[in-house]
Amino acid sequence: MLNSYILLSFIISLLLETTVFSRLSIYGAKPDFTLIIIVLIAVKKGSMTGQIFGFIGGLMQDCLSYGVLGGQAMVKAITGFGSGFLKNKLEENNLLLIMILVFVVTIASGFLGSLAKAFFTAYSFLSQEVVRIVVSAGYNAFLSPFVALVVKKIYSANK
Amino acid sequence: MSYLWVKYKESIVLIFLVILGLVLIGSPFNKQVQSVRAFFYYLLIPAQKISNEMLQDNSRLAKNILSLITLREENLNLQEENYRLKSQILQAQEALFENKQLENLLAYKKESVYYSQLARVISGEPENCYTSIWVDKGSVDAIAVNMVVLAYQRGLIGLAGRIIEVLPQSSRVLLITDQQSELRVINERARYESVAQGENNLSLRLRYFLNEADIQPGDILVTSGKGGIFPPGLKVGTLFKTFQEEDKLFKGGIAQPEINPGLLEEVLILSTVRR
Repeated sequence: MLNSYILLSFIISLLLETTVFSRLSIYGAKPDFTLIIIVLIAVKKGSMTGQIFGFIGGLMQDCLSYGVLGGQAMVKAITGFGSGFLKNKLEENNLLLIMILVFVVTIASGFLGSLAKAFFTAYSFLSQEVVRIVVSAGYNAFLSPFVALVVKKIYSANK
Repeated sequence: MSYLWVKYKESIVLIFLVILGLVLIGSPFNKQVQSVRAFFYYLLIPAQKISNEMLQDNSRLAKNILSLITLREENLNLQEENYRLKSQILQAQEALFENKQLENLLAYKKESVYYSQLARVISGEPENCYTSIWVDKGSVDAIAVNMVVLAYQRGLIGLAGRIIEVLPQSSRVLLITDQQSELRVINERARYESVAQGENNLSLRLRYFLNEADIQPGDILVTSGKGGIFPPGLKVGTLFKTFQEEDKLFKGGIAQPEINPGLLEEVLILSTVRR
């Protein structure tokens, strides 16, 4: 049941990212709700769950993008795996810590994604991309407390 | 073996997922990959259409309330503009008649005619809003790959991109600001040619201007018509920076697109019918 809720939250995230937040982008950066959810799941459930849902969420994003299939899936799996090391080490209700974690993870995942793209495609990493990644990290960090509340509700509803 | 699995199962699964990701990246863009993607679009596009319409209704309501405040003044301005346009139409009709007579005289035959369809933007990409968008017209509306997409924004008409993928009810537009988009442009003033490539943001990188090219910031860039996709004369953007390329063989530049592809709501799909 919890798994289907998580998958549903991924679909809703993609809907938000591709519609509402397309109009609310800052310097071309949009919030990555899928990433926030992956980080929160990984922190709560550990590396295994984090990386599997990371791969699924990333693959869903890949399917909607005009880029290589598998790039985001790989990056998000690594992100979920890395964030899972913080299981039982992060105070769940400390929203400031969650914001900082999401900020750092977004930057790491953004650079990893750009690196993968530059390695496998004709994409060249541009200085403006740095601005987009940092703005996106700020955007994600700002929205992460709200997403954390939703994820918390999903968990409590499943208990 | 089981000991290894118990101890390192998370790392083993990660290695497996990374390899799977690499296999997917390396897989060619074939029909199977396209059908997986198409499945997702079919799944999400109806929901995207609904949420988009709800958004547009809300923004229309807000706009309507705001416009009520300035309605009277706007009405007077429109009346004035109406009289002016009517007189211009009369002049244009006269010119058209004269033009037709001259065409007949010279037996000039036009190569092609264009027709256009208005389409609504359904969604953008999850990662970046300057790469590609989905519009609500597809193969049932006679939309085909490589059709040209224009946009109207703040009173300006500019090139937005081209169709790269068509489904029955929707199509994907590769925006000119995407890094995979390259098109031939000329500066309208001095007619020097260049290649404009997107940078995944609100700017275009211009390459291969000849060293002797007379280019200046403020020059208007239009499509050259070469390449077979974009017809000539479509406004692409304005040059705002020029420089010498590192190899010293060419000049380069940075241009700002005529329209902001990240903020599109409606677009015009242009198709050519060859005579």
